[in-house]
Amino acid sequence: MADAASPQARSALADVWHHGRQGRTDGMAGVRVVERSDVAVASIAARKGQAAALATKIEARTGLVLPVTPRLVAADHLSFTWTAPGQWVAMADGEEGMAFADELVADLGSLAAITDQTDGRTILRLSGTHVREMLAKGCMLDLHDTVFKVGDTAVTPIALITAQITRLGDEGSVAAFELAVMRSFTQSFWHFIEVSSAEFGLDVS
Amino acid sequence: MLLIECPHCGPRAEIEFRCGGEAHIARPADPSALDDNAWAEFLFYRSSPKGVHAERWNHAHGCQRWFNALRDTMSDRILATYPAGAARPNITTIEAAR
Repeated sequence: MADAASPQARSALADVWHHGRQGRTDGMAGVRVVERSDVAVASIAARKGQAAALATKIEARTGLVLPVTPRLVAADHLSFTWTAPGQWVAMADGEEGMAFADELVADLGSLAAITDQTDGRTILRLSGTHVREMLAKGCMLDLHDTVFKVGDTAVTPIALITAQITRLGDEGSVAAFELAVMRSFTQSFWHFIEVSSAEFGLDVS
Repeated sequence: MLLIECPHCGPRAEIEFRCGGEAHIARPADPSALDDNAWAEFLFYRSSPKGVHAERWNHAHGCQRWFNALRDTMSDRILATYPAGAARPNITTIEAAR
């Protein structure tokens, strides 16, 4: 049993997902899914009238320009994703959640309200030759490359569960998307992914 | 499915939104100076035109921001959307929206 003083982070999917191949078993899996669990996540909401000052400070510290439209900016291990006017989600690969949020608060606390979301969200990376067909069963957006371009992001219901979907760069020659849902909706969302991917074959890793 | 153009997110499906009733109704600066009739008028009296109507809408399942829309109540067509606080576009007929 884990030490009560230092609880271990546990994926919201731990009870429901099975690694390996699911659904159609012949040929290549049409949909591949990976959970991003080694990432720190924090929400940033600019204080009243401070959005410009916040953007200036973040650019000075990181070289990244906070997007003012639904876009993702990323460099090295750090990224900022637009979620609403004056609101962003910051993600840092390989960092510990609270430490990352504390670091942001120390730096930007006077300009923005910052909250650790690392354990509050499940982040999945989906790719594959049939990932768009699979997402189309629950997502109302047009995900074609000419409309939803690399770096575009949107907060929208997918299978009636509010999610943030971001178009990442291609993985090999196939499109990749990042999906973030609130932790408490993760198991329902996972059910949508499993049943919607079955006809194409689903590879979980 | 009706597509509504959120001023922040772009065109989205109608079910992402909630309608919040008539737009551009300013709260009286000094409510205690009003008589009951004037206060009731502010609270409850709304226009219900046949044609172009300015309404408040909320992008509830997206950016969660309020904005305003001009909607034709006969065809249910959204003629224009604009951020909260912006002036109402000068569209009074459906023809003017084209």
